[in-house]
Amino acid sequence: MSMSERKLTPDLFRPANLDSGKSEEISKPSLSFWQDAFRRLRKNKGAMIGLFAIVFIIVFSLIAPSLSKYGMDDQELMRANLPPKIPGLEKVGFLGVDGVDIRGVDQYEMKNVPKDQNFWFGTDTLGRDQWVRVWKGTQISLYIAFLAATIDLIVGVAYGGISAFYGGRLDNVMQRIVEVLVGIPNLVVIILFIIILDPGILSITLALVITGWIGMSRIVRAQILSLKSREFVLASKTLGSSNGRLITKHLLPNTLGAIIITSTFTIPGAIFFEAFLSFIGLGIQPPTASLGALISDGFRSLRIYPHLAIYPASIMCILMISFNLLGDGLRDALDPKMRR
Amino acid sequence: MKKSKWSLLLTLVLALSMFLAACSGGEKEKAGDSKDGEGTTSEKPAEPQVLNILDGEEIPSMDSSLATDAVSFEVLNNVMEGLYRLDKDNKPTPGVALSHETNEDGTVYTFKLNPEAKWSDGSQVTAKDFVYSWRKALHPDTLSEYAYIMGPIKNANAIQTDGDPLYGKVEELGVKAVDDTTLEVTLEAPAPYFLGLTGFATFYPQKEEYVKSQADKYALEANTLLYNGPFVLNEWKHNEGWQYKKNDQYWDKENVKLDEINVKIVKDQATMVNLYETGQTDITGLSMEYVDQYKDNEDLYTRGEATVFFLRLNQKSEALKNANIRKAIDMAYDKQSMVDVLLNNGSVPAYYLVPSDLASSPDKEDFRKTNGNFGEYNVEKAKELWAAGLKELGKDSVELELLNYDSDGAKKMGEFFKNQLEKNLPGIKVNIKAQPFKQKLELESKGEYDFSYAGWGPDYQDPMTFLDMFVTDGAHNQMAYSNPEYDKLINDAKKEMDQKKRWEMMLEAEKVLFEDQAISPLYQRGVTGLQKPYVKGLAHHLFGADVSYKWAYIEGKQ
Amino acid sequence: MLRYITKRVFAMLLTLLIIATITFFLMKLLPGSPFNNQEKLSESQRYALNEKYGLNDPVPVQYINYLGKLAQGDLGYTFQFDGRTVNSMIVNGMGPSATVGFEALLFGTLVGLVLGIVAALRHNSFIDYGAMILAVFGIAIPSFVFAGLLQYYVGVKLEWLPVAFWNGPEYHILPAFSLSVGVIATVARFMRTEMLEILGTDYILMARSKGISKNAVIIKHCVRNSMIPIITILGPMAIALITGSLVIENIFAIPGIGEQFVKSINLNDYPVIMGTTLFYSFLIVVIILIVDILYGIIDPRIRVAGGKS
Repeated sequence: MSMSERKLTPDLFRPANLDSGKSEEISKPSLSFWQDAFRRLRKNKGAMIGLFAIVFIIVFSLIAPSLSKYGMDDQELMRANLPPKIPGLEKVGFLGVDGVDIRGVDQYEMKNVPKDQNFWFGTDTLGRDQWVRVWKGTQISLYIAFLAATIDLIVGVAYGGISAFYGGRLDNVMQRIVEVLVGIPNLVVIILFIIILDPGILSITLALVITGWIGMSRIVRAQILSLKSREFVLASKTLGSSNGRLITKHLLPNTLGAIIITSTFTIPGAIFFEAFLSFIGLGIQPPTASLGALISDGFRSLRIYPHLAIYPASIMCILMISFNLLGDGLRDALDPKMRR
Repeated sequence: MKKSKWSLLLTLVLALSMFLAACSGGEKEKAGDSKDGEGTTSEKPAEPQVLNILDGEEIPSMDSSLATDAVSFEVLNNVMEGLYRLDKDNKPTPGVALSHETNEDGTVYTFKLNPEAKWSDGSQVTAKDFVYSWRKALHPDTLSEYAYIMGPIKNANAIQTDGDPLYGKVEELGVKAVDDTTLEVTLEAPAPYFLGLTGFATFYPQKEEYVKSQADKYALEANTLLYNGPFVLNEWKHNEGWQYKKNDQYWDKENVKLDEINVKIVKDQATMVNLYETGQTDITGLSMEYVDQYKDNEDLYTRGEATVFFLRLNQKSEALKNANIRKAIDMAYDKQSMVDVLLNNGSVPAYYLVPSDLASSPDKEDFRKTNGNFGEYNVEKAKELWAAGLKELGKDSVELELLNYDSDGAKKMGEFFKNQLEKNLPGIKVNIKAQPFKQKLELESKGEYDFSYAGWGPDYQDPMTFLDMFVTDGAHNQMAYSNPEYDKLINDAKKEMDQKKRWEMMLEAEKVLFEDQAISPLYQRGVTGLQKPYVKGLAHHLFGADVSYKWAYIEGKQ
Repeated sequence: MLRYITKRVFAMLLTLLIIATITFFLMKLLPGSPFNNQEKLSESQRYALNEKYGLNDPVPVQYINYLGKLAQGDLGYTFQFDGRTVNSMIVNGMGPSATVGFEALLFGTLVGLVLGIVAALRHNSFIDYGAMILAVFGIAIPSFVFAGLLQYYVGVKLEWLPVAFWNGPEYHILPAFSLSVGVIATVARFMRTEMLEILGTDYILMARSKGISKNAVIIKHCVRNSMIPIITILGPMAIALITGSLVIENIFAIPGIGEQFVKSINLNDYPVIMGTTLFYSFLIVVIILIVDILYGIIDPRIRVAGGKS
């Protein structure tokens, strides 16, 4: 753009309407930090899709099991390993929900399943309705995920924050305690809980409580260590801000990005941790099943009964992606530096 | 989606491979040793006699007097040899022994040893080597878990029993080296299965001089061990695998056709199948999920085993003390569909304790054929018995705990079992407690359970290996079962000189056991897997070692 | 700095002692002794076995004996295999595990850093979204699923790489790659977030306006300052990778330490559980120490704070 070529004529200029009172006026409606953050979150399409998907999956996992007339543990070996069949969608070939298995045999016909019995996600090796099991499993995985995230947020942030903020001897002691906790493999801890409390949600929960928050606390500590010697914090301190104000107004908001990102990793981490426990036989005990347990179970027969792994795996993938999209959106929305 | 995903993957893989090649060049010479055997010997007229197989575990022990597990037994069976070894039909065939004679009542065996039988260092295997190793196994300091298997030999039990005047006096054992090639063994009572027993690992010879020279390094590595079997261990990489090579000192080497057997440790089922499909292993076992996939494959094999799985019904539990309750439980679940759908591997439903095809009477009649089946799947009758049992107990509901292994297969089984009982027996509630292996055994031996999923395999080819488990306070009873009639039958049978009477007693004992419904048998295990058609002549055994490679060969691979 | 490090090393030894104590007593809490139910063991044999491994002594005596041996670096004998020491089991298992883990860590960090940096520099572009979708998939697929698919397609269908086993370098590629996916995803996301934050700060603008070339600013200022949280997460990640993954070791039949450890827990093999735990803890405290020292080198502001304490 060549500005210099342009002739500047007086009629291009107009005298400014200088009103000293107006310059002090705030033209935008006043928004609190959270209102503002929410406004920005709403503008982020990805985050909204993620949020919607999470809400949808949560609601659906609560409703869906009741849409089937079978319970979580209704076995019938005569109808074991049926492929999925959804009446009405049978003609739509690419969906693969016509009750025909990968060898091209209509299992429903072969096993003489009554016409009114249709399994939307097929059945497993014990002839249980996979639809019910997948959604119930989703409930359990979500429970574990939220639990992990909550513990992370409460314990991890507080611990890391205090340790870094007060520093010195306290920091030293607190970090040594963390080292001890990290040093004991959580598998040993879990085995102990399982033997004392019997395997199940409770022992997994306790294992998560004991070891889950450490990663978060270290991240928060690192962030605050680096922030607390920054100029703006020093300035605020010099101006006489209380510790409470320093933490809530300066340190925490600036750490939120990292905290949220860590949380969005904690959630899949927790779900996977449970899946790993299921993989080595220490997870949720049957007949209850989590998504992870269903996947590790179904994955073994992926090549012959793909429906057993594909549905829980897809739901898990959608959940993971949604949590990540939402996490990214929240980070952008909550980061004070983005507030312009 | 597919194309772009893979090309990206390819780039990443290539990048990684370049970087790896740069940083670990030192290991190159080891590369591809599993492939070499197939390619390099092709100019020879005969086919390369190399067998590639997998195993699930590392070898826990190569010391024949300490070995306790299936893997050790199998390896020892192929690199060592006892007086006799089992042939393809599970009949004893001469090993180190050339022949044997027995006295009239069958209590003294005199073995003539083969002077051609050599250790892998070229020295002769003598009768002294047997005397040494048998005494060693029984000596209290050796702590051999399997020493009890020497029980039929004179004084063996006394030597093992703490407090007995003979305790620890291994010189009193009924075995004598008359000269280098004559071994005389005296038994407590005639044991028709003794000849087969001499092929068991604990009865293998050990060369005293060598064992002492190696001291505590004996049998820890492939080169701290002397072999006298058809193969030697050429290489043993702990936790990774081992390699057999043909033993050129072996007396019967003309009949050993394989030159090399490569064994790799693989624990993941999908990996095993993938290795089979890429031809890196010639044999693989299959779990239930994969059987359906290979149902029509001609490589699929199914084989019966002599291991029986059953539910221990713990009579410490108030409810299970009631015979009607026990009978009702046994009738209330469908063993046939359990075996067909959940196991799907050639297992057969069991209505008995002593497996079929294990042992036959002096008249060559299979134990199973004579005694037939006990019990059936009958929901109606189960409900009646259950109601009667509850009435006797004065309760209308019962809560029971099923102690289970924590393996996938066992868990499925537990779920099925719980569901069936809760569906068919009104008022029962089954809680499943799955525990890691050792903890499960511990709870079982303490009797802290109601019923538990258990299995038992034979140690020798005789019904007694199953039946003496349930004598009162027997080490493996573990369920507070006690019936004086049963105890008497078993103890008398152990002392009985007349083989026919002994057999009758054992038949009777099993009947008594099932009149009491002391256990609820589940199934007799079968195994299924894939085996390349060019692998021939493998010998499978029902007890002791699972398989012998002595007669195996490769034909038609190329 | 030297005083700080000496102090930390002493603290480290104390930490290890506490961990050794806690694991020792936890172990004693585990029900079932290794020999209490070996199926065919007689009562007197069991007693003798317990005697041989010192399990009949009172617990405090066992504890003192254990610490005494530990001080000499002797971790005892395993119960699973005849005559094998825990030291040799750790050494044998650690080799392959650490090799694959290190390869995965190196590859994963490099790729993750590049992805993260590129994504941040091209914020909201096609590359950014592509990299982040990759990263999300990297953490959304369980490793056993990913490794299994990789093995089947690359090993069986395409036959490009060996399906399993532990021989030459080509055998490392699939397991190391499977392990590195998680690393790539985590590092890329963290790097992108940090870079975006730093790119928006005033001193970067300042440096740019002073006329320093864009590349120099990115490398000297952005990347270096973004490394702090990366190092924090890399520490634990490195331990997790190097100490072996049960899943990956099982799938690719690698004779590593991860599988050994889980098995020894199932079998109540105390010496192996304790030895491996202590070995892990040792690695962890050492890596934490290194990370703390690295903070100081990368971010001078922390050094000042640390020096004061």
